Amino acid sequence: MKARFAAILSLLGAGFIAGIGTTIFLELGLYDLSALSPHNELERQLIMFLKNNAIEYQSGDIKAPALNDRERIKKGFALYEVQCKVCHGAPGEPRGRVSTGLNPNPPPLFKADDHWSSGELGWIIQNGLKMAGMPGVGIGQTDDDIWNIVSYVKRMNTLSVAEYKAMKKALKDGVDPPGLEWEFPEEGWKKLKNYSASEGKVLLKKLGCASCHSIPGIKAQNTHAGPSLKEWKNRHFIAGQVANYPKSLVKWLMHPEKIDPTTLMPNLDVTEEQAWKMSAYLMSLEE
Amino acid sequence: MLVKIIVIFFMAGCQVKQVDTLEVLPGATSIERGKRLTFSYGCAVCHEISGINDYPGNIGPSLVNWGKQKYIAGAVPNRMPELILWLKNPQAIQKNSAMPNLNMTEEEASDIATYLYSQ
Ligand code: HEC
Repeated sequence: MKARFAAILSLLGAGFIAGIGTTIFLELGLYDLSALSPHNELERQLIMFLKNNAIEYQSGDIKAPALNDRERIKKGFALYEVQCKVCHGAPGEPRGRVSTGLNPNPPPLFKADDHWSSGELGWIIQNGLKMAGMPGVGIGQTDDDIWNIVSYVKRMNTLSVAEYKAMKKALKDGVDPPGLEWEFPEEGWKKLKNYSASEGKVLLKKLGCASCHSIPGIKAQNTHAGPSLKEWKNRHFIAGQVANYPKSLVKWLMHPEKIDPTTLMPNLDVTEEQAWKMSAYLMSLEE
Repeated sequence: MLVKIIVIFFMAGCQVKQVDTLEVLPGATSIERGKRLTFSYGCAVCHEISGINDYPGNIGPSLVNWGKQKYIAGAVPNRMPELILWLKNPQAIQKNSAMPNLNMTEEEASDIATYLYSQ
């Protein structure tokens, strides 16, 4: 009985001191309000935790319509260019001056499709996010407009810089340049499953890839001529030009000069079969 | 936990000083200014960078141990003048690069480069 009384009393005491402490802290104006100063790591983790959970819960039952639709993506692209690019940027294009210096930094959306479901994306765009500077874009627009934006945001997941430039030209000229695909491309994840990552690893070793790139699992004298391939699956761009998915990775490994004519990465004469195997290993590199 | 949160808030608060100038970090070194600018320009939303966590951080290559890297964008040698040029205008080096031109000043680029090499 006495122990319980002491426990309650000390809890109350701790609460009281914490309350007074917080009041003094706020009263004196000690909270670092400058947007140019990053949140400390604890604040940042709390915000991410809150954001992920609230969005997952609150968007719970939203059903998205069919989104891989040429007209939808086209309309969504036009809306994104006017309303979203100013904060989220585009392949090779920065966010605008007004949003530089925002805290939190608005993320680029190339990877949004990996992180959120279509319903969650719809919810975020429709409602915006309190305290993050993300406006509720749903104001003044139809649900269909929102789904059009979602469909383009999902297309950004595979969008190359060249395709983006072609889309801009299409919007400006009113006609599609030849070869422009608006729909989501075939990424090749299913096909990748047919190839052995361990055979790919042997090939990467044999071709000496690790003498220029740091590659987890392969030891070599590394000259750091190329970027690290650590957690390669999570990386978005290949050579800063095309999005990273199995089919584009295979193309890069076979003909890097076709994707980036000035690259120092050599064409190593790999066959398509070999390129798929190496891709299987590289795409197995996750956290 | 509650006490920990409050203590951390206090520690964050202790860095706040009254100032008499518009300079963001008066008297700071180039590395300190570079670190702030690297955060504010959102470099870490695209790159893994030591000392700055941002989301998602995996759009472009990792810049951890940047000083060891031989080339910039697989195109030019990794040295101070080339890095400053890259930061000010990536497309001047790599026409189709997905890295945006962030419209920064020469001084800002120089501070950011100094921070990257200090890693
Ligand atoms: C929207 C995403 C984005 C932002 C923001 C961004 N970068 Fe990049 N950055 C990239 C991409 C993509 C590449 C790869 C470009 C290429 O190879 O053409 C790159 C390449 C680089 C490289 C060369 C890396 C290498 O291994 O060759 C450096 C250095 C660099 N960025 C620094 C910065 C700094 C500093 C900032 C902030 C001022 C910044 N970046 C902001 C996307 C971004």
